Amino acid sequence: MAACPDQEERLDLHAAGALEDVEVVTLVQHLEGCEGCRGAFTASVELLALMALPPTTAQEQAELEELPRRTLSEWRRAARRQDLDLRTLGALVATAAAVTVVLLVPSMWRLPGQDAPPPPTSAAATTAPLGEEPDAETMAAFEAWAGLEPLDMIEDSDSWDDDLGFDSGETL
Amino acid sequence: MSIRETGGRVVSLPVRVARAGLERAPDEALCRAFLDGEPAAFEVLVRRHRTLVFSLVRRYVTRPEDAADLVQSAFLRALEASRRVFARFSPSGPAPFRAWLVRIALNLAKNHARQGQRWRPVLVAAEPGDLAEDPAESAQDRLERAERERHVRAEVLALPRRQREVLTLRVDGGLAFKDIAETLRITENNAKVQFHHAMKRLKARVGVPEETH
Repeated sequence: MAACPDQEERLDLHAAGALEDVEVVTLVQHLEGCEGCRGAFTASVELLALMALPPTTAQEQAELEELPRRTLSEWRRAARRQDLDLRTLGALVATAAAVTVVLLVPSMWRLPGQDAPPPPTSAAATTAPLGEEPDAETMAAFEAWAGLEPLDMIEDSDSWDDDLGFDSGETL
Repeated sequence: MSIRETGGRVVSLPVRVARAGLERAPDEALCRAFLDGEPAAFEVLVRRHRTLVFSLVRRYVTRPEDAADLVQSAFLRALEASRRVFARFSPSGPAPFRAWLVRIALNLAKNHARQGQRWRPVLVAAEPGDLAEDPAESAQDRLERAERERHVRAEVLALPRRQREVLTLRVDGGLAFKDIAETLRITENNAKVQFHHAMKRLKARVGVPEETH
């Protein structure tokens, strides 16, 4: 004999102990007079018992006890690793910026009204040929720019978080 | 500094709070406290949820160490998610930590089972001593029951995702349907319907008679 279709869901919820008290009273009264629903309810209880996992073992309990300590250690280790990565990135960005400045500043280091650079003197031409180290004035300008603490700039930026590919489980 | 909360939104962050205060603090306040440098808040957070998460992931693993690794990863990812939310948006914004934690744990466990077992779940095997001793039950009966348990547990993992999640959150995690609904972002009624469908499907798959007319 089969269960009543309008009671199916309640039977499963009751077997799982999730039915409201008021509904339990009504359902129990129904079960007393319905053999089909009693059979279905018994089947649900049996199924839930079969799917239940065994009690936790001593080894599992030990793993559970250890969890707070080991998880905190791993968090700290990951934080140190991330900090190191960011600093390395910052150093690389600073180096790249320095190279860019060295390459671009000589052509941009002109006062307003100076449309063309002064003709190189013969001495300058002999002491600072193209491709060699820039003069002291250019280096001073670069050093002033490079004193902007690039590591702090990197650490304060949130933009790096976009690239870490973090999966928060949203695709479940 | 004390933890204050208004309408479920954390409006002030504790830097150093008393142990008793931590025990009573909501998850989101503990997250913030830990991220602000309070290690004890982290311990409270892990102790509060470790049994739930461990219960959920052990269905998908064969070794206790794997379950512990998955729980650890879930906590770390949930904390990282909280950190990013706090950093990016309003400092008073709610961060549903437990919902994130559970969903991340289920996702990690599912991936673990897929990668390690090719979706051929061996699961937490019942030891001979785990089987309930019934004097009236013969050795043959016990073996048959163990085989049925193995079959049913395997079929649970073969359920459609939503049905499996609802079923395991109820059976393994012991969550109320209201909490299941909140965790999975579905309605409570939907959660109950999914649970019923999961039961119905399992009965059909493992040979328990269906209850329809």
